[in-house]
Amino acid sequence: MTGGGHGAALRPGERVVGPLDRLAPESKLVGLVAFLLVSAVTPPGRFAVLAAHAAVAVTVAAAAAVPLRTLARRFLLDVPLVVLAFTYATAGRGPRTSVLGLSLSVAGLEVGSSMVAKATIGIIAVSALAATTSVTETVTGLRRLGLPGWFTDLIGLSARQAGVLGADVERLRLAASVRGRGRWSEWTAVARALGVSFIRATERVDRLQLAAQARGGTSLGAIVVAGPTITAATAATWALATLPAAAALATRLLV
Amino acid sequence: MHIPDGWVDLPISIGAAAIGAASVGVAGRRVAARLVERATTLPAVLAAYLLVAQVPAVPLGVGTSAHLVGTGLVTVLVGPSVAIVCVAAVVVVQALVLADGGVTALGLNLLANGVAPALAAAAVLALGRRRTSTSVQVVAAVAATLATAAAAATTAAELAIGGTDVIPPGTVAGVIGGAHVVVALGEGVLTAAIVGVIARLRPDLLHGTRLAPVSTTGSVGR
Repeated sequence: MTGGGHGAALRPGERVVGPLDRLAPESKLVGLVAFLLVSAVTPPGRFAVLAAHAAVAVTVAAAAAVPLRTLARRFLLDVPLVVLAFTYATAGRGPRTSVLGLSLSVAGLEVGSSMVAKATIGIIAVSALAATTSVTETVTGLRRLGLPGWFTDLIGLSARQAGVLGADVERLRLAASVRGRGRWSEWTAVARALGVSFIRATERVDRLQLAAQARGGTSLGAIVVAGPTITAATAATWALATLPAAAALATRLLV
Repeated sequence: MHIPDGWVDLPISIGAAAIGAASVGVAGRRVAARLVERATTLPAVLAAYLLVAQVPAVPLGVGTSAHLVGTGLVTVLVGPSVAIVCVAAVVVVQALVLADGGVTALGLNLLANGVAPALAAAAVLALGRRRTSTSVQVVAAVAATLATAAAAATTAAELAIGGTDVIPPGTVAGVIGGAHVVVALGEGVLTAAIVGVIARLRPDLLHGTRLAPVSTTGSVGR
């Protein structure tokens, strides 16, 4: 799940290294946030601008070789947001229009569809970062951008442990669910798996602690972040990484 | 529910990020003082646990599925400070690695899913400790339910204050609140069942809650 955020089609160790992979993570993070900020502050109803932003995001995602299946799964998780946006159209103020027999607020429709567009652009843009940046690189980037070391250590360690615990919970759920009968069996299977997994999680804390003590220190920082091997940003890197944001800003000002 | 990019205006998003960062700073200091050498490992592993627990589990139809939010559970078992620090790591990983929740909405989602529910659950926990007859399972269920309600209320407030004025704030609150009634009750039931499993297998892990133990004859979690 969080094993580096690379394409599901790739086996561990098989990684298509493209131009985006080689960019320093801190520049990619800043470039992403800048792009998303430009998109976020675009007024609702400026659909030509939002379409241009979507085109920029799709271009970057294509260069990052984001698997379509991954994108589809992430869009599916946002169905509740689409429902919420739809209520903006049905319950919105002001003049109304008829769409497929439904009476919808013009302003509400504009705001709702703009919000869904922005959420979609966000998912595509983040997916481009996630597909080309390992968790270790992301954590290093955040550290270089000035986030406190204890917090970036925490993020790095939790992302790695999620991979371990995730596989474990799947096995536990399967084991509980094949033995379950009746209406609530799915629920009890989930509860059992999560209960046992919580116990195993506390046991993992003990194991990690023991390993850290065996290495002769109580700090985990140096182990979590493999900093020096990850390239640092140069002027050219910064220019390339902020190119999508610049393109988004240009369309916002010109279109 | 995670707020995506572009739904809440910039001043509210930045304000929420500032409050969120300050809360994590305070919580982080408390965790470091209390857990000492476990100050990284325990929150990290529990954050991993929450990341796993939040993967959709039981499908409920129309794109939604029941999964654990977990802030209430972690607050009851290890306290609100650890819970806030955990959720901070969770929302960052979700926003930057899993594309779930907006990057520019990180502060909003941290307040809604971490700070507010942890404080709500901590209040229930404090009340539960006064009533010595209330078992840990009941306290966990109530804490988790109210934590989820607090999360939904905060999300609704953020969308109402920083969102659009095209619909009345009450409508947003109604839609989000209504959708979360079942979610909050489900969270309570699931949390009680998880605590039941822990009470049966490793009762020592619940000592830190300073609550009455669960009766082992109960059927929940069996």
